[in-house]
Amino acid sequence: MKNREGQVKLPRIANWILRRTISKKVRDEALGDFDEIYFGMAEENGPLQAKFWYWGQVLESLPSFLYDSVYWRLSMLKNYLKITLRSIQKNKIHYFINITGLSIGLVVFIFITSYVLNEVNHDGFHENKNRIYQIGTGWHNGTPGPMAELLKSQFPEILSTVRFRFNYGEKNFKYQGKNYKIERAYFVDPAVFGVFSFPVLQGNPETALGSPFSIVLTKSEAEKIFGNQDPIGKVLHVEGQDLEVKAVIDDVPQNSTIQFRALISFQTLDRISPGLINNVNSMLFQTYLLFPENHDPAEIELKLSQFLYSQYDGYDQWSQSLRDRVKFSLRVFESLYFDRDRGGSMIHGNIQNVYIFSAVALFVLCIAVINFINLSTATASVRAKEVGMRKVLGSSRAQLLKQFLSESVFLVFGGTLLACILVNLLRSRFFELIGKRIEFAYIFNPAVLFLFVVCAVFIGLISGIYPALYLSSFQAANVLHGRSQKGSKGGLFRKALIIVQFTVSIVLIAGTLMVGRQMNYIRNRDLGFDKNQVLWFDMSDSLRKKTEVLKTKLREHPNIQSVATSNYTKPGVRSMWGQTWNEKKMDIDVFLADPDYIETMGLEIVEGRNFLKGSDRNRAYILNESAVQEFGMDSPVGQTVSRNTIVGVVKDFHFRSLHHEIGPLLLAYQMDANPIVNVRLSTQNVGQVIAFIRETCNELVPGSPFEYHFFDESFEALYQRELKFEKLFFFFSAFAISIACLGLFGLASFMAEQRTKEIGIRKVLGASVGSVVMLLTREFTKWVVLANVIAWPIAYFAMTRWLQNFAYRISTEFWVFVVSGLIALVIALLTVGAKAIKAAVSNPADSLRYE
Amino acid sequence: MHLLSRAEEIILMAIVNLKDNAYGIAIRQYVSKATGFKWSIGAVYAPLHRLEEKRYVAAVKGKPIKERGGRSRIYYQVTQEGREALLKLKHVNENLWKKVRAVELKEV
Repeated sequence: MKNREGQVKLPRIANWILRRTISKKVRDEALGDFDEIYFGMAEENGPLQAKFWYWGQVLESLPSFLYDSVYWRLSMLKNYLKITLRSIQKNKIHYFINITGLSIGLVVFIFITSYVLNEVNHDGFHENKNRIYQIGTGWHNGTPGPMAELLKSQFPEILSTVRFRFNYGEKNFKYQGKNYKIERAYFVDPAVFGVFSFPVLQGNPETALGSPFSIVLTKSEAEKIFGNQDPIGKVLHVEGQDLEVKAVIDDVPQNSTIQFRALISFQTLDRISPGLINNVNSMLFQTYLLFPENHDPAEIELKLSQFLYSQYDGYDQWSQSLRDRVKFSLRVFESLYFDRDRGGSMIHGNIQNVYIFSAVALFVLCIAVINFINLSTATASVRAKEVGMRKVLGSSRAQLLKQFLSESVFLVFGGTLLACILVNLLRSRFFELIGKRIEFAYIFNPAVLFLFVVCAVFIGLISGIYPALYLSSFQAANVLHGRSQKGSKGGLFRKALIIVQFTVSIVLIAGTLMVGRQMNYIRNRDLGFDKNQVLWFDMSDSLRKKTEVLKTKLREHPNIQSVATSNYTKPGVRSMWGQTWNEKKMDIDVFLADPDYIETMGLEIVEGRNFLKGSDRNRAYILNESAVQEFGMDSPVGQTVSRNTIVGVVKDFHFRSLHHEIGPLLLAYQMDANPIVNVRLSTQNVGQVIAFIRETCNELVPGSPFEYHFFDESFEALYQRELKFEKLFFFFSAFAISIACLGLFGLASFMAEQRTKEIGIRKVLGASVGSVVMLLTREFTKWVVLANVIAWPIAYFAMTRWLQNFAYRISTEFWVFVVSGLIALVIALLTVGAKAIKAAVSNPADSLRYE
Repeated sequence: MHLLSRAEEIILMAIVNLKDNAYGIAIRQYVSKATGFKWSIGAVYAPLHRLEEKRYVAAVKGKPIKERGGRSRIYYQVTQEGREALLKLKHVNENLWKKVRAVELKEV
């Protein structure tokens, strides 16, 4: 208790607490009081009691001291806020530019972040997403039906299995005489609701799909068909079958990998096409397996694929090509969303886009922050006197730092608030742009909002630290004397910031140009056939029986040039057959078509002849040039491929998107059973012709649904992703360049102001307006040119990577970079020029009045 | 203008009454005695700090004292503004009390 000199010691911890909490102003005094009473007490009542008292008193006083120090800190903050508001009032335009630039940047940042979060959080609602596995086969990941049962009996650790039968196109549902088209109605095993977590709204999930001819609808489909009626127990008529609605589930979220509108029980499929499920050759089903919580993925994958290979190697029913292609793997459900080879009609994200956009988000945020720093520093000349005055009146540098830092935090908060308002206003436009709705719940929940506040403070501090250091460094004597601060270091820093901004802008502009050019190239490339003015539609089964009559009737219309039937629905959907010539086997894309197909699509026969109606009788092939080349045939016409005779060779044409090379293709003669009608129209009265086609169909089969598509639109749809990408790129670069220009404008006005006197003197000495404008713009030009030099290689590298997505692409030409550089330069010059001209035409008498 | 808080008023009055001896411990003893309960040191200094910021009291540094760990006592004096504020408060209090009859408070 006593130290060596026999003195009583203060309780160390209690003393330390006091020192931390008492505000600086009264600290010494209050501590003095504590000591005085303590030592007095120690003398009188003994050190132990004194110590007790000390601790008691510390605890008792703590709330008051804490309140006191928070009170003063807050009142200081209030003071800072007042200063900020005052200087905003003095410099409205400047602060307007600064806050607007920041909030534009933040708007972009929030949007992109929400997009990225949405992508990354895909399938988040599935509780078992990390223990569901898909069996990969390398063949659109289709598996034969019996595989699921076989695996389950072999591996006890598999908790349950789910098979999906995904199919393209829409199904026609009939209810009370009305037709409803439902896309994505899939057959599925009853265990689907136990494995995946689709929320069931009505009905019992366990029994819903347990019996044949039962169907589960999503909420919006149920509302569409039944309105306000209770859908449970209602019967829908589909393709000759009656399906009973057993349950209703919530609409599948946008970012779910598996998308569907209706689920039909698996046993139904068995009744409709008996034997299909048990056929080991039909690779029609996707199989999902559920494993227990503590499984070892690597071990399971090894065991499973070994087993599968041993089972399926022996199957002689499998064609060699199928056996060569199948590669078993086990893929965790979580990873499927970003997997290119997921197969089936599942939706998917693009991890590349996620990366690109995350980078863009950071870029834009950087630009905005840089701008903020730049503009804050640029106020230096205005704030210099204030800083000088404060220093003279005894402000320490630390205090000034605090003041400027809190100012920038305030501004960032203001900008964030504005950004949030803008985000709310622009939300629907953004959804339109990216083509899907995003759950903003990911952004506007308490945790993220808290993060947001922290971020705002952080950004405020980051962007405030340099201006604060810079501004608070002014020497009072110098600034009050009127000598301007020519911090050459600061100038360099600012220049670097401008250069970075423009580099980013130029990269984005170049990207926009390149994407635009590639899209243009895609649209205008000669596809080898005439995709314009061709319309196609599906025939129902009953209409299909009257194909010939329909064709004849349609041809009678003067504006219909030709009509053909085929099985080729839309570009992107493939069916491939294994074909043999001279013991050479390969898989070839196959179109089934009638003799009118070549004319209707505008294809060109380069060798041999077209199909002959009647005489070719399902035994004739027409190959494309790639197929001839691939087989290595010298004189293809007359050769026999898989017991069919080649009658002709058609010139290569793009039957798939330009992402892919033109592969081998064969047209097989088929007259009657084709599901698609292709109609070539002349350019006049298109609307009338369509009405005519509809009437004709209805005449032949009353009530048949007629939904038509134009071929060029279907082709364009293959580039949805790129089109979206193009639009987004355009908007982001527009944002980036406008933010950069805001910054540049602020900087230019600042520079013009700083050089007011210089300009005045020059003009007095006879400088022309032009030369002054030159003087002011020259420096900015230099920076933008430098930014170009940095931006070009980056843009070149990035765009070359992107173009590799396409088999047919433009070359990365140099002039694109030059043009994007020029665009940036012109915009920059326009921005600076406006300010420069204003400064140059000003009367020198005004600027030199005080000299 | 803002009226003083009750704690500020009490402490300001204590400083007036203590005259030349108004330093931390003395003020605390005085107000504790006057109000009938113990004030913590913190409870004294928070209002005192505010009074000082408002310039109602001025601080005068005394000599360093060994018992205080070599620190000086700081004596407070009421400034002219402080006196005016206190007077104003007195008027307010008197005006308010005028209307309140003792009977109503059952003090008779």
